[in-house]
Amino acid sequence: MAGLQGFLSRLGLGADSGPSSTTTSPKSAGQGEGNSWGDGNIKPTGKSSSEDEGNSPNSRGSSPHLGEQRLGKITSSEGGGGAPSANAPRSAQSSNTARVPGRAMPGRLMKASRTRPPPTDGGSGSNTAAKSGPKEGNGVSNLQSSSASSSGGVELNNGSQADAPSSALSPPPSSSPSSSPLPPPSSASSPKSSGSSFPPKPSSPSASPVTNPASEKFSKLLSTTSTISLPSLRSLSWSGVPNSHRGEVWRILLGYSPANRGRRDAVLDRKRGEYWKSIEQVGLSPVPSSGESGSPETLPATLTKSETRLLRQILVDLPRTSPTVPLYQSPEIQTMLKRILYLWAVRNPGASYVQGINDLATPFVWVFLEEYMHGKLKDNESISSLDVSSCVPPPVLSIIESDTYWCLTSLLSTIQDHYTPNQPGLQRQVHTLGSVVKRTDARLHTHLQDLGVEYIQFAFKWCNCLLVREFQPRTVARLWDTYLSEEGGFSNFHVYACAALLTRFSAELRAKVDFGDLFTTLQQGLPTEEWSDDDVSMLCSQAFVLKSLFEGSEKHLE
Amino acid sequence: MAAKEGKDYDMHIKLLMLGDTGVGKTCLLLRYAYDSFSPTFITTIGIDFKIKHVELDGLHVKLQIWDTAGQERFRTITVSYFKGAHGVALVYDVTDRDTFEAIRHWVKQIQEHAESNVSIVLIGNKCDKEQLRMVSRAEGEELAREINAPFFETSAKTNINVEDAFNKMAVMTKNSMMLQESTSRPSDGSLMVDDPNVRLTGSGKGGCC
Repeated sequence: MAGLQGFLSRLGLGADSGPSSTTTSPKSAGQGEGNSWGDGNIKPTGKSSSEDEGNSPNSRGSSPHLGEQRLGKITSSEGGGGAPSANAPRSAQSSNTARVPGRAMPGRLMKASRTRPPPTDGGSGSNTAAKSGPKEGNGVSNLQSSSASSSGGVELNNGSQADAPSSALSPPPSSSPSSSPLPPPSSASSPKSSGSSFPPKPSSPSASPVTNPASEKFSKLLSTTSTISLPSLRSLSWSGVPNSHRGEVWRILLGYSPANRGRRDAVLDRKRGEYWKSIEQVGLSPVPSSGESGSPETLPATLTKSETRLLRQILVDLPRTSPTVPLYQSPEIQTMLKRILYLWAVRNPGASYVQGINDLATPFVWVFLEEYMHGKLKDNESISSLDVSSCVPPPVLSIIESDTYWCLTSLLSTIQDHYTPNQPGLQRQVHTLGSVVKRTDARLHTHLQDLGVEYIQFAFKWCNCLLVREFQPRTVARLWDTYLSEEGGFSNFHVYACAALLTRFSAELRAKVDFGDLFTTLQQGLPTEEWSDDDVSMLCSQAFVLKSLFEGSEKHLE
Repeated sequence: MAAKEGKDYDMHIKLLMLGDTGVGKTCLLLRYAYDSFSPTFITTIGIDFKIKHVELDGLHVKLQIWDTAGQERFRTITVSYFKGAHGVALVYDVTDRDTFEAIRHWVKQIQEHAESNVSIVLIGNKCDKEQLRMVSRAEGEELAREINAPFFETSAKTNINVEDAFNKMAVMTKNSMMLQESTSRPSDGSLMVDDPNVRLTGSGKGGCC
C-alpha cells in the first residue's frame, strides 16, 4: 500500500485517511453504458432491467451526480426479464448501499478522504458482494445445472423469440436456421460436434482443478441465480475478473448478454444471427477469413465510392492494428476485424470509422479467445501468438466475431462523441485530465507546462484508444474489468485512470528535463510492460479516489 | 562549429509531416531519424515527433520533426501544429491515386493555417512498388512545379531518397530562416544564404524508379 499512501499524501490526505474498517469494494452505480445500442439495430425501448432499476436509485441516493442521465437502459426485452421481480430494486439497493459507504460523498474532500479505494488483491473485495448476493430477491435457488450461455449462438433459434426487440434493421424472423446467413462453416452444429463448447458453460466450482477463490466467487455468482445481480457482478468485477470468466462477465456488463440466464441463449443466438445478416446486407462476404486483400480490385463491386473509401481505410489499418501482437496479424483475425469495423462504421455514419477504433476491438477478440482457449493452452503458449487457424474452429470464430461487434458497439455507444467531427468528447476528457492533474499533482503539471508539453499531445491517444496502446493486452483486459464495472467507466472514470497513471510516473516524468525526452516518454509509452494485475488494481484504486474527489465538483477543477 | 550558449545545436528547425493516412509518413520519419523500417508500424493517433541532429553547411541543426495523423477526423488536433512549422514534408503514396489527388487539399490547408513562408517538399513515397504504381513520376513533377516545391520519389522501405528529401527540406528551411534573420539583423549577414527561390525551381536531384 506504500504507493497508495504516497499517492494519498500527495493529495494532501493524511495517512489516517483510510481506516481499514472502510475497506470496501467501490460498488459501481447504475452503469448506463453498454445498454444503449448505438448502431440502430436495437433501440432502447425505455424500461430497464430490474438490476438497473435497483442499482440506479442507490447510486443517486449516494451520489446525486451519478447516473441520472445515463443513456439507454437495457431494453426490457434484453435486460433479463426483470419485470416480475419488482422487489429486486429494493434488495439491490439495500445491499448495495450497505457495502458502499465510501461512494456516498464523491466530491467532498473531507469525506472522500475516508474513502478507501477498493482492495487491490483481486477478488478480495468481493466478500461483501458475495454476502449480499443472496439478498437479491430473485434467483436464490441454485441453477448451476442451467445451460445458460453454453454453446449459445451455435444452435440458432434465429430470432423467433418473443423478446425480439424493435429492430429496424433486423430481417424478418422468417429466416429459418437452414437459411441463416451465418457463416457457412458454422452450420449450426459444428462447435458441439467438434467437441468445442463455446462460450463455455458457467464454470462450476469443480470445473477448475485448481481452487481459485476469485474464480469460485464468480462461478457462484454467475451460476447460482436465475438472474444475475448486476450490482453484485460489478462489485465483484471491479477488482478484476479471472480469465476463465471474463468473456461471460464482459458480455453481461456490456448489456449484450442478458442477466437473466433463462433468456441468454435465445438473445445471444438472435444477436449473433443479426450480425451475420447485417454483414451480408452491407455487401461483405461472411466467409471467415475470406482473404480480401487490400487491393481495390478485390473489394466488393457493390460498394459505393464512399463505402469503398471507408473499406480501404480499414484495410490499410488492419496490418497496423497492434502490429507487435502476432495474433492480430493472422488473416482470420484481420478478416474478422475488417467486417466488425466496417459494419460499425456504416451503421454509425455520424462517427464512421476513426483510427483507434480498431484498437478498441482488440481487447474483445483477446478476451473471447482467452475464454475459448481456457484450459487448452500449454504453458509456453499464449493468446498473443495463438495460431488461430489451427486452434479455433470457424464456428467459434464466428461467435467471437459477432460478440466482439456487439460488445464494441455497446462500448462505443457510451463515447460516441469521441469520434464525431472535432471529437468533442475526447477534447473534453483531455481538458478534464489537465484540470485533475493540476489539482492533484501540481509539480508534475507545472513541469509539463515549463517544458512546453501539452496534455493534448499525449493524452489524445490515451483517450482515443482508451489506453489500449499503453499496456500489454492482458493488462488492458484487467483495466477494462474495472472500466466495465464503473459508472461511466469509459466516458468518465477513464480520465481519472489517466490522471492516476501520470501521477504514478510523476517522479520519472519530472526527472526528464528536456522537452524531447519528456514528450517521447509520454508518447512512446510509459514503462508498463511488466505491470501485474496488482499494479492495475492500484491504478484503479487511485483513479477511484480521484474520481471520488472531483466527480460532480467541477468547480474544483477550474 | 561550437554550439551556442550551452545548447547542443546552432539552429532549431521544426518540420511537419503531412499527407493522407497510410502514405508512409511515420515510416519515412523512422527511416530518416533511426534508419529503421517496419512495414506495419502502428497508426499515428494525434501527433508524434522525432528529433534528428544534422550538420548543414557547418551548422549543427536540431530538427524537430512532427508526425501527424493523416485521417481527416484528427485535423482538429493536427492543424494546430501547422503554425509553428518552418518546413513541411507533403507526402503521397505513388500506389494510391487518391492520396495524390489530396495533395492540393493539403496545400490549401497549409496556406490557410501555416506561416506564409513555410518551405514545402513534395514526396511521392513507396516508389519501390513499381508494379502497383498509380501516379507517374511526371505527374508528381508537374504538381511539384505547380506548388513550387522540390519533388522526390522515395521509398522508406528500400531507403531511396529519404535522406535527400529531408535534407533538402532542412536546408531550404534553414536558408529561409537565415534569410529572415539576416534581413531583420543585417549584422549577421556574413552567413551564407542561398536564394530561397531555389525551392521554387528545384525538382529534386535524386530521382528513382
